[in-house]
Amino acid sequence: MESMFVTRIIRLRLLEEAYAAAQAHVSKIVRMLHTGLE
Amino acid sequence: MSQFLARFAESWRDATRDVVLIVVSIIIAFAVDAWWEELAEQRQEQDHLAALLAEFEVVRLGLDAQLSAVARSRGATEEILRLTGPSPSSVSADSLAGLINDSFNLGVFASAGGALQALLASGGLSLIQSDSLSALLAEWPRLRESIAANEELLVLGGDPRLPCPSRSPDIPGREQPRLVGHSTNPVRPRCCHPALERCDGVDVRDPHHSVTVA
Repeated sequence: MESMFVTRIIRLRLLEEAYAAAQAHVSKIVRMLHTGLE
Repeated sequence: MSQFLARFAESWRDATRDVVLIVVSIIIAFAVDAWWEELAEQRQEQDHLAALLAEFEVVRLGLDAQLSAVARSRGATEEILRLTGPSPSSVSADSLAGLINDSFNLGVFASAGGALQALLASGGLSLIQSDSLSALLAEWPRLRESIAANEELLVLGGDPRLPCPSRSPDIPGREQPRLVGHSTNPVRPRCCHPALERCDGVDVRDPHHSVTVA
């Protein structure tokens, strides 16, 4: 039971990192798209 | 004789002038055509950029929401783990139900990606003049795939000691989970997703590595 939650926390952290990396990437894209449309 | 020469010179001059005029006209026509084509490409690029901006603004909002949701889920899971710890404290059924709900009620990131997909499929990425923007856009599907792989592992492969989840027929085109390495325990093979670079500390890009499962 305990290991299941530990595994889930690890997986949630990995997912959080993936989201954060994607968010940084998308922010760059949005900034450049704004520049391109100016 | 001199009259003949004068007429000849004059007609030669006229002919030269006509030729020059024709050549200049052709050059101008080519220049106008190129300018018009460039203008059309610029308009096309602007249309693509506008569509991509609308799409990625939505993607950004979706990622913000998912980040909050996953942080809430992690917080609730950590709290549940603390409650099951060495010296568990009492908790009301309602609180526990709330924590379990927060921990497991996590949606997946849905990114339509229509404008980018259309652009990539049509080869229109070359219309975008900024090389760095093109590179970022080309990189985005890999990041999206990484998110999908992590979500899949969380939902379907909660315990790394369990066998791989079955294929997901409802997600066409997505890379499927697979067994990696050679587990020493055939009953409990380790499952990782090929889109992940690492899984439980193991580099899954190396097809020859050996995985030991306790």
